[in-house]
Amino acid sequence: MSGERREALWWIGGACIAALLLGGWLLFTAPAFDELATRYSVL
Amino acid sequence: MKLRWYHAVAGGITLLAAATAAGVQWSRSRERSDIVIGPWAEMENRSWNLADLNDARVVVPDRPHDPAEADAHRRGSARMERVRRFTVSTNADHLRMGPLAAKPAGRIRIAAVGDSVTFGWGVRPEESWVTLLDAELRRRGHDVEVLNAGSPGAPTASMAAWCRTQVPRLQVDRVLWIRRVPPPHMGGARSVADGIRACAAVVQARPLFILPPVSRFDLHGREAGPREGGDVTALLGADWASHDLTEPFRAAQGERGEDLVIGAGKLSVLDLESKATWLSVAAPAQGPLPTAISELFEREPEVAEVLMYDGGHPDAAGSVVMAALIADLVEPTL
Repeated sequence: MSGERREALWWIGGACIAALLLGGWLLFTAPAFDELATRYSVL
Repeated sequence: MKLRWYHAVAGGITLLAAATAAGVQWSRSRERSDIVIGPWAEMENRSWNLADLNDARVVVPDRPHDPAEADAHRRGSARMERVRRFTVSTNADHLRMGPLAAKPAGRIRIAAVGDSVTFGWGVRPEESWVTLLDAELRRRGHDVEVLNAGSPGAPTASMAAWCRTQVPRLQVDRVLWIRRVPPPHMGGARSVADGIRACAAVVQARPLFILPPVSRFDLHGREAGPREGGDVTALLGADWASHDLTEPFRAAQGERGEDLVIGAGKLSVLDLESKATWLSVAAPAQGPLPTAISELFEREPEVAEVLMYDGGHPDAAGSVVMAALIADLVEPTL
């Protein structure tokens, strides 16, 4: 693998990992309303 | 560093992801509920309404549902379209009502101590049964003032702590204890009896023990509800009474809206006016409402229980019914 291809892989791979981390953060962050019992569901 | 094509690609991917995340968070924030409760040091550090809220926004399901649906909506993995929005303002005393003035001589100050049903979950403050009860008792000629001491999701221990800490401070004369009995893992009938005793210890007149109506679409409530009052009065003593509003509330609902018929191993959603069955599904042994029923509510906006909107809380019209029923219970004690 040429030096340029290796470097491209690092950059694009890093960007993809950053995008995945952002997606995971979005998926698992929910408004903090945990104080309420689930019966009183809050959106 | 010399800029290469892959720098542009990586930057593009990152920017696209960041813009998408920002957009999703912005759209969520428009639909997101504000926090309305938290620990209150003066009330034994238990959770209660925050003080001095000014039009905090709350968004809730406007139909019976499985709480997991709300979780999925918050995470963004599913979406509930049938929602209800309302705002919450509280006074300096952590009550969902206007500021309290000094109590005039001769006035009877009544505290309605309860959970979300008392708080007026899903309705405007002027529509809540507490406000309507206050107006109704005054209309009947009584010099009373009814305080809304309800907090959403309040455990019985918090209600007891409210009585211990706030009844003397706010010069409350009467207490209405209004809550369904929690399941055993949340204290059960014992915790209710202990809570009512805690309230009885700080007021002269005996608290009224009232059970708010159980929704037709509350599977747990329909199974456990009929026993709840008796379980508590058995602990309190033979001279105590419970007042379950379920039957008179059902009578007020009449043959309108939808009902959940339980029988022969099936749950059926029935239109009470046409007597047509929307659907029948196998009845679960326990647990939340089956998905098929949630989906029916989401799909058909006209499918609704009369006087209750989410399988647990009265709507504005239901609050009128509750206020009238409770006024009839309270008036003889004044």
